Amino acid sequence: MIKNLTTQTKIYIVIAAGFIALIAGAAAWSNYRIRSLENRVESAKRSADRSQQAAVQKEAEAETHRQKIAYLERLLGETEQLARKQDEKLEKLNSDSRRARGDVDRARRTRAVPAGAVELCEKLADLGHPCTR
Amino acid sequence: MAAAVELEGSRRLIAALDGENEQLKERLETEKRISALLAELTATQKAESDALRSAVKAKNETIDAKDVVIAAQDKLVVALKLKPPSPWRRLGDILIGAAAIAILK
Repeated sequence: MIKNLTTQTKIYIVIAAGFIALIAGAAAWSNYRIRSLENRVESAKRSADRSQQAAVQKEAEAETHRQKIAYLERLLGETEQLARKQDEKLEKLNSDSRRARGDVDRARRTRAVPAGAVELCEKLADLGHPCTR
Repeated sequence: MAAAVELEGSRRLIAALDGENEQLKERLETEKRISALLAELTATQKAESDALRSAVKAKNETIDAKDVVIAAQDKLVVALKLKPPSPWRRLGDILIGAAAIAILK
């Protein structure tokens, strides 16, 4: 059948076939390029999503730390208040000790005065050391 | 008699010193607790600061990545605008043209 065709027709067919091949090639190249660009867009989107998730996670972490800081600050405030109360109590105890020490020093400096045995035994009994006879 | 008074006073002093000592121990424990709390607070504040810094960095990366998305989409839009029509459609056009020429002949 091809033998029956004239040279001119054959040339036309070849030109048409070449034209079709050119169109198909251009379309394939265009599709390939678009697919490649679409892939690039998807890849960039995934990367953006990953970064966003990391940001959200870090913010949640920071929020947890913020809550812990608030709790620790409250606890610290309470402990410092307790420390202030203890300081006040300590001040009072220190004052008591100073007074007691003063009393002892005064007693030590006091000149010994003669006292009766009965009076002395009573005093010792008050202190928990009663006379035995 | 003075010795007895001194003894009584000494006992009071010992009791007072014991009480003071006990209170000092409690105060020391409280101070240790405060110190531990302050150390933990500092560590937590540092961790918070690090987390916030990381969050900011991740957000900047997100912005950069979104810029890349936008740039890629812009390129895609341009490519889609320049995309030639389907070869089947072109073939159809050619066939219609050929048919029209054949009819005219």
